[in-house]
Amino acid sequence: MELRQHTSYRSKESVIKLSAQDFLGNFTKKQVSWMYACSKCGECVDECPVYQQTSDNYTAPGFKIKKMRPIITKSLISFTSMPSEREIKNLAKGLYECTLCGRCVSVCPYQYDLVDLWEKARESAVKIGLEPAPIREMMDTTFTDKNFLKRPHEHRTRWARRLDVPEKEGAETLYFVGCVLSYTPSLRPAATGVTAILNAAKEDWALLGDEWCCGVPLKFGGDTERLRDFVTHNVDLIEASGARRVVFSCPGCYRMFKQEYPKILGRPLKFSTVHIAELASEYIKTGKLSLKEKLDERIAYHDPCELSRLLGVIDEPRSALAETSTALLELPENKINTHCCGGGGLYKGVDTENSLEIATRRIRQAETIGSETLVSACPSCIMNLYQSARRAKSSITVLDFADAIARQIKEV
Amino acid sequence: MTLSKIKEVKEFEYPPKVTLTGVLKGLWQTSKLDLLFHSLMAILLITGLAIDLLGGFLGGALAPIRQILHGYLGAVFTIIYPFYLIKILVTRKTRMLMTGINYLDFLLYTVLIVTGVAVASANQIWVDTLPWLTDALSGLRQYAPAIHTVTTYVWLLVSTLLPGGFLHGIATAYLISIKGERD
Amino acid sequence: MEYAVLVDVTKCIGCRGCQVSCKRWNDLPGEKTSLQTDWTNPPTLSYDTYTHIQFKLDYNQSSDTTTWHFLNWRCMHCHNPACLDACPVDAIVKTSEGAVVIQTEKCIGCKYCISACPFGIPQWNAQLEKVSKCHMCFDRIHDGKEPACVQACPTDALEFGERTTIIQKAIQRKTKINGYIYGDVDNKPLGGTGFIYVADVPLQSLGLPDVSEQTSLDIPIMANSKLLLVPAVAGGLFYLAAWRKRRMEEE
Repeated sequence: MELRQHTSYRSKESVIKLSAQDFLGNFTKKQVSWMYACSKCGECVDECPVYQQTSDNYTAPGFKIKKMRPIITKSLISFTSMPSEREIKNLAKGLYECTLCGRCVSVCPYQYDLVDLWEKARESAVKIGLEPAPIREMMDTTFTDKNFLKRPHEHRTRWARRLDVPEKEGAETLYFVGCVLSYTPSLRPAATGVTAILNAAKEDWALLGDEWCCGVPLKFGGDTERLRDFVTHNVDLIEASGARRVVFSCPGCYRMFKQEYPKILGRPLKFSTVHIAELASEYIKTGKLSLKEKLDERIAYHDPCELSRLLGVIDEPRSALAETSTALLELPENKINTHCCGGGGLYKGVDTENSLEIATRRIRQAETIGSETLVSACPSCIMNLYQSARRAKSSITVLDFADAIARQIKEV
Repeated sequence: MTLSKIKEVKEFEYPPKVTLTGVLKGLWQTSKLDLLFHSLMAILLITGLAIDLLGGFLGGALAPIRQILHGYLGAVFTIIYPFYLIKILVTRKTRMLMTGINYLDFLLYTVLIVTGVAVASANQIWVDTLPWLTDALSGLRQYAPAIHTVTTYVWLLVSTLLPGGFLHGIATAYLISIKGERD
Repeated sequence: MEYAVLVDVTKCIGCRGCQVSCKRWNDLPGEKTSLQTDWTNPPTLSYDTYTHIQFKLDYNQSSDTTTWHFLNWRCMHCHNPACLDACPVDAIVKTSEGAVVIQTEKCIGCKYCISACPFGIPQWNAQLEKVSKCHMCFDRIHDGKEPACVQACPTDALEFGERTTIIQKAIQRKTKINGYIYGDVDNKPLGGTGFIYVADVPLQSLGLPDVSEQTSLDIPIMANSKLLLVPAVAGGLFYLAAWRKRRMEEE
């Protein structure tokens, strides 16, 4: 499809010619059935973090399904009517006003995989050129620079300079850093924290070498045509190195490797994948990592959507953090009911303002339960929570998980 | 920010599996009224169709089915329906998702209820206790059976084609059969 | 052979022998009634009362004369019974002798016949949840006897016989008294009835309603509405075919 108009929605010149067969034409039987199986109970509407913030119908999951349904019906039988072009544009816009947090999936009485639905719909939006301009930019730069932050690929490992990062071949464990931690100086403690943990546990580890973006921006953005290149590059590199395990800081990268890479490759990975929270928890339990005396500090843990709800890693971060402080508090809307920080699904690029407002809710909740520190195990969460805490002039300290653990490592 | 009662999901696994027990559990946790409504509607539809289509074959055996499953459950349905409908219309999240076919469905259900009650208005017990209702319905009584039966088939037709509640049921059954997995 | 009954209103003396003999033959219980300002007793038909005499008193003020008419009221045993068409379980049959009979064991109590009958004849029993009415003593007439009510009538106001003969007699009687016929000849409710009424006043003035020859359209519409399942199923299959076709193109 050559209908690529990379103009912002606010531009008046973008004219997209739509036909029923094009938009949502990639829906399989599963997605088509969802259109009709939706019972319009509205559970997803009230629980959506973006809708809670904007009260704009087009950001409500059930409403998006309602708008998509006639498009699918029209493509099945021709005598029904399509929504107007304006409605389709609003729908496409609404599809990106979503953090892909999966809350809608968890509250749906039928447990329909709506995240899969949104991703498929975004793919189709890209095919007819209806993705927002910032998303288009992110995806384009991912292709060229192998990261979605428009930074030079050669600078990817700069964060590791002057650090005790082993440079060797054939390490057993590889650390996949991810774009956000590689290129965001303020988040560097997260990566250095992982380094410290791996070193203290005397792990045989190294960096990837020529790490490319895991591909999440392409998957979430919807331009999945060249996603396979990224998958094969990373997997070939890892498997060629002989590494048996890859550890992740970012739950987005982690889930991409764990759930999506095998699907795209058509085969299982020849290495195991683990998040630093799981690894650190294991180190502490087995004694490979010794911690100092617990801090007299009230910390709360924010479950990242990708890690807790979509991957089920809930207890490990808690068991690890419980060893660092005397008071580990639970936020409301936690564990599988975790309330999104607003930073996922590339939403931050679409509506930065609202993305931070969603994070503010979490900050306020942390304040309400009386915690001094808010810890999370996801670079996007940390970034959003940190920026939001600053804007809201909150006294809460936002810390990354690896950083929090690393600070408590007992030097032996 | 819209205020909402936070829904506490007890268990969750991603990617999710769509199973029959999961769906029933989910419906029970989401809205018991909805579950009751759908169960009653399914029973009323099936028994009504059984009487109209299989009446010639099953004859008197259908008497308890008509009396209890269709008649008494129909009365229960009549009582809960206004609550169900009002709940949908006053709650923003459900009102937002309603389409034209839903409102048509509600209208047809209302017709079915009113005509059903009109047909039942020969029953002495409630005729004696609610004579004003019997009087009000008496004008309708002659055509009530025909409207009741025709409306059922019209609903089935409309609900399949438009697409409406019936296609929804079929799509849900399909998803349960593939456990929401196969792509 | 098809039979009919001639009901000559001018001969009826209101003795209620027909009511009593009907109860006796069909083993029907009596009904407890209360004092009314009307002689009609029981005041209405019921599950246990298949027929009664309606006492119609007409007082002419100017001439200070009183005229009585005694109308025997019961199922008309129509040629095209609306109740038969309306019954979803085919519990109502018209025998070859012309009797319209409700087979109680098949009745499911849906009350469609009550709504369909333009004369309001089928009666509901709330305890049994069943319907009943006069069945023209189908068991007696099958054995060559007259219905119980006809046999009991002392004045031969009720006369039983082969249908065409009865109609001829009705015409003769009508001509003789310069009266009116209801049930065939002048009005043919639902294609003609099994009980032919003759009176000296229009039968409509005695309460017999104007009913058209054809069954009211709602009954056949109701009976055939199940045919809408055909386009519904067809529509569903069409959706299925279109879906399959689309998915094939994709994959």
